[in-house]
Amino acid sequence: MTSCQDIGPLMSLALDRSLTQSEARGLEEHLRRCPTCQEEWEAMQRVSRLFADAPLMGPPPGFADRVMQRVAQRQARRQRLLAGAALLVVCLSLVALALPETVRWLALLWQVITEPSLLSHGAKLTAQLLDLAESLGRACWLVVTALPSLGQVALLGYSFLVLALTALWIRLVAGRRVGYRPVVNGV
Amino acid sequence: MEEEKVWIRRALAGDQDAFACLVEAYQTAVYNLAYRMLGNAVEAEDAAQEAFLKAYTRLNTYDSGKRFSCWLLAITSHHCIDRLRQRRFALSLDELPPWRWLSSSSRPEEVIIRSEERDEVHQLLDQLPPHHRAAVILRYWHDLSYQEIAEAMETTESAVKSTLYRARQKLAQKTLAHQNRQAVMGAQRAVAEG
Repeated sequence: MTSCQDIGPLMSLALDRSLTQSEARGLEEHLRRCPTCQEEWEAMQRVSRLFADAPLMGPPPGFADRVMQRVAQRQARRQRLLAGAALLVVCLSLVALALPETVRWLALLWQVITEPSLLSHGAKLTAQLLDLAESLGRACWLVVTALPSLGQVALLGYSFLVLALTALWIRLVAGRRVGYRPVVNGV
Repeated sequence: MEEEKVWIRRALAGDQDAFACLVEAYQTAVYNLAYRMLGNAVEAEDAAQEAFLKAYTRLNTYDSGKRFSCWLLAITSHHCIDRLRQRRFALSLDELPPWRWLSSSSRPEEVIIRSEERDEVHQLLDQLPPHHRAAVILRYWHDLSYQEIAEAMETTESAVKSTLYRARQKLAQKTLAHQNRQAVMGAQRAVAEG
């Protein structure tokens, strides 16, 4: 005698045609006697038919192409990431290789910079350079202020000389650069 | 079958055209599972695409001794179960007072309209928790055996039998309750008209 509790799993197995002959007989006998289980069995069969008759839904057109676009995008992103990682590894390796040498050079440079005699020489040199710049500035100023007093002829001659030298420079140097054409495909 | 093995081998070697052949061959199965699990076309398309992407990146984990379709459907069902869990979490957040009134999609009348638009199959599947839903769909639409469902869902055959029984019982009870409600409403209408 099969109870109502045991009959439920048998109903499910029956829908999948997975019952043994004796189990099928037990189910049949129980359903004949029990209207509650019979009602549930009919409802289960109805739902089962509904699902079995529902069609397999296909994707909208172009689905496979869209999937492959995403695959290609992911592949490209992965390659970019791999290239970035490789570059990072190379950079880190170079830094690691160059680090001891760089530290040694920096230490040497620091020693040179902090040398007291060098500092005093540097200060003297800077002062001399400033003096020289000042003298050159004064000389230029004298030339500029003296030019108008030399008269119109001297100023004209000086201007012609500057123009002639500029034209010569353009012809010899800049002219060659303008005439340059790149080689395309070996032509 | 031999052709499928060749596609898999070539796809493993990085041939995207070979993987495209696999997508063409299994797109209906994968999309149908996603559609039946999630209940709408837009989400189903996205989930099916994601499932194929996962399959592409994990192709090296495929055991050639088993059916490729089962492996692919297992990936799809896991992905859809995760989505349904996220959706449930999002819905439970939506029900909190500050979000409830700000979000237009959580208004009760719209929920009712949406559920009315769905067909009977979706309404019934919606009653089931994600794992039960996956087992039912794999059994009815994809004709997987108990063993194959067990492998796809990483469980045992007896657990699959039990899951299917509980799902079917729940659906039968819902159907009976619906029928009883309709019978009562019909009787009330008859009394009102008489």
